[in-house]
Formats: sequence, C-alpha cells, structure tokens
Amino acid sequence: MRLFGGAAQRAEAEAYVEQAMPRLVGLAFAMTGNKADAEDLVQDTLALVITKWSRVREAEHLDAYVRRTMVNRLSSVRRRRAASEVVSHDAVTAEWSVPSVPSPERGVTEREAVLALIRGLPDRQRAVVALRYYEDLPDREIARTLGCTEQAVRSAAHAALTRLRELVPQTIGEEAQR
Amino acid sequence: MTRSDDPTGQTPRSSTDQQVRDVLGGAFHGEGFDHAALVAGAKGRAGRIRRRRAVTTAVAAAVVVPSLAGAGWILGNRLVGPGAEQVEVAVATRSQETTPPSGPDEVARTTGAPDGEAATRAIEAPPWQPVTPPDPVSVRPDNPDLPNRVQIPDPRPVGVDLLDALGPPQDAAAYPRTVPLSDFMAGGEGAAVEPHSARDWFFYDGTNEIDQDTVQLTVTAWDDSAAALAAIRDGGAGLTSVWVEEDLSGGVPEPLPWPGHDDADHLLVGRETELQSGDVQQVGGALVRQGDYLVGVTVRAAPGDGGPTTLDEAVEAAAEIAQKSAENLAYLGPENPPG
Repeated sequence: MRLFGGAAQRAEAEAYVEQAMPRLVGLAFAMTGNKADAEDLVQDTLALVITKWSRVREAEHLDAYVRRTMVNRLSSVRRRRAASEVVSHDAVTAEWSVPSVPSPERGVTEREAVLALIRGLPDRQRAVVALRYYEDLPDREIARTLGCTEQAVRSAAHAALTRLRELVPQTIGEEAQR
Repeated sequence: MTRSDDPTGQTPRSSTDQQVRDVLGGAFHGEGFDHAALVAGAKGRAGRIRRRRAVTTAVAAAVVVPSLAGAGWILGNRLVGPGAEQVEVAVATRSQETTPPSGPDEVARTTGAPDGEAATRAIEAPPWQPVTPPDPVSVRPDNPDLPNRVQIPDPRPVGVDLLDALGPPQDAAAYPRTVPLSDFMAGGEGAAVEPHSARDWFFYDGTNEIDQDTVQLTVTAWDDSAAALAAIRDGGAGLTSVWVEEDLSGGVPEPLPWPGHDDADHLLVGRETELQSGDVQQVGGALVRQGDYLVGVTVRAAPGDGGPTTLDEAVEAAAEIAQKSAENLAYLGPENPPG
C-alpha cells in the first residue's frame, strides 16, 4: 500500500474535497438521516480520500470510487458500533414491536418521519435508496458504486420501497399530497 | 389513492416513491452544514491518519535499532576512501547465546561485492518484526489426536498497512491438516502427502459480516516443501489439498507474474469472487517457500473498506505479507525445531 506523498498531489486532493463536499455531505445525510452522523461519515470518507489520493486519482470513475468508500465506511462504522454497544433485550424487542415512526401528534414533520424510516433500513437498502433518490443515479451506476450487480440493486430497492410502503402511515401520505 | 383506499393496507407505490424522492432530494437543504468546517475537519482527520502512520514507522525504527545493538550487533560501517565505489557494511556475528540455531536450509542474502564475489550475510533478525505482534483474540485449542510435529514460529510482519488496519488476528490455530493457501485450496481425498505441522492466523474485524477485508496467513511445514510446492503448481496431485474454484470444481489458476520472484519458490494467484448477495470481492493469494515451510497468504478485499480495492492491489497485498512473513521465518527458526 502506498502512502500519500507530494505537495502537488495533496493540493489536488484538497481541491477535490472542497469541490465535492456539498454534494457528499448531502449523500452522507441521505444515508444516515442524521446530521451528526452525516458530518462524521463525510469527514471520515474524505480523510481516507486525501490520504489515499495517489491511488484514488487513478480510479476510472473517481466519484463512484468515493461514493463506494462512503458506503463501506458507513457499514464498517455501524459494524464497529454494533460490536461495541451493549443493548438490552427489552430495548431490542421494544424496537421490534413499535415501528420507529415518530407520530405527527408529537409535532414531527413528514420529512422527519420518512427519514426515520429510511434510517431503519439495512445498510445496503439505505445506500441504494440514497444513491437512487438523492444522487439520482441509474441502477448501473449504483451497482458500480456498491460493487454488486444491477439485479442486486433492483432487489435491494424493491425490498426498501416495499418496507417503506408498509410503514409510511396514511397521515404522512395525505400530508404529502397537500 | 391513499393507504385507506388500498386493500393491502400499504401506501401506494407512486406515493412512496415520490415521498422518498421529495425528502431525499432536498436532504441537506436547511440542515445548516458548515462546508468549510467539514473540509477543515476532513483535512484534520487525514493529518491524524498520516501522523499515526508516521508514528508507527518511527516506533518500529526506534525499537529495532536498540534491539539490534543490544543483541550484540556491531555496525562497523567502513566508508572507503574518496573515489571508492563500494561502501561496505560489516556486520559482526551475534553472540553464541543469541544466535538462532541454523536450519537445514539456511538462508543467505547476496549483496553486491567487488570483483564479482558473492558476499553473503545470514539474516540475523526478523526484518519485518521489530516488535512482537499482539496475540490473537482467539486461539483454537490444539487437537491432541493430531498434533503438530514441530513448533512453528510466529512470523506475522508488523508495519504492513493492511494488517495494521485490521488489528490483531481474531483467530489462530495450530493443526497439521491445514490447506496451504486458504480460499484457493481445499482438502481433497485419497492422497497421502500433507503438511506435518501448520499454523494459521485470520485477520478480520471480528464480525460475521462477509463484505469486509480479511487476511489469512498460513504456515505449513513439510517433509519436502519444494516437492509440495511443485505439486501445488501442478494441480495438487498427490496432496491432500487441491485447488478449488468457486463452484468447487478443480483447476489450477494461472500464476501471475511476481517481479523479482518469478522462480520455483514463489507463486501468485488472484481471482474475483461473487458473493450470494451479488457483491464482488477481489481475492489475492501468495505462496512462498522458505526452507521447509510454505507461507500462504490470502487477501480478500471488500472494495472501499479501507484496504485494497482492485484485484491487482489484493494480489499485491498478499505478496507483500507473504514475502515479509517468509523473511521473518528465515530468522525466526530453524525449519524443524524440536516440537
């Protein structure tokens, strides 16, 4: 593995980071549904991009490479958290029995409710949803980003939307049509 | 149509689709992200990553130099006079107490020498192991019915980026009936030739997640390691380990070029593996013969997980770890110490 080197390459990497930040922080937010997590994810991802720039810049599809790094970074952070967090049985079963949809009665907006639902999707489904609806990428590009087949993308998208359709409450659906 | 109109009780397809698009299409608007601060944060984190790497390298150097000196090395750097072409580095032998016993296949390095003479110096320290690697998280107990015949030293190299990123191995075992190159080979039937001893170390992140970078380092010890590696090259005939493809059919992968090591003692292979999920992983494999040992390293790369991302990089990483482990083994032991 090669270490980053050279002031010129460093400047090039940092220029890329500045240019890509607005779009990538949005993607990070779409993937995490949470501002603090999004900030953490995008900084971690771009720190890796800077330190591995000599390799990253050679990528045939630079943006796809960076998006893939973000997706894997997301999974890896969640794995580490899952391995270190101690969760009680009650907390887990409570989560199963009560859908994690904030109720409108508590003053939660439709947008927040949908974000909460997306946040509850498995990593890959969430990444597919973010790449399809935030980045507006075709399935072929999503497959390239995730390193999987288009069929796997379609399958994950289908599963995600099916799950969301099951959970999005009527009230939110009505509100969306106003 | 609303959910109440739908006999399935689900929100209609178009409504959900549009809602998600509406919500995520403006995902970050109004969230108040401070882009300049985030850019500064990313640069700061990159700086910390670089400093950690630099510290790791410096610590390795700081440890190895006093260790060598303390072990009795005398660095007699003798600079030849002006105009001389050779700079000779004389290395004194270590004291008898600390000199490792010679193995049957003592390793020597050839260095440049005047008049075409080959000056050799024995490897007297594990070059890629200035500090003891941390213990594995889990060590499987030895099988008393089939123990290793000899004790195999621990040749794990330190200062390899991929191994540093993965941390200590999560699992380790000592058992002779072990395939020399994980993932690429499996146990066959009806053959008699197998390692008489083996150890392996498995590096991963400790979870069952299949989509992650992993490294498996395997050292097998043979009665005739040269014959074993030759048989492996020929497809594994006569061995208990055979090459396998993803569908478990037999087959010998095409050896990849290994610059500087295109010889009978080195073998490099690679392949892409598609998981059931549809994800594709790059798998690199390297085998190096060192004395009576075969050092096998398999690197499985999940793209974007921080390690290798292409097949070439996975193969390169496997080659680096295998070669450095073999060079450590050259010091760490006679090939067949008493068990």
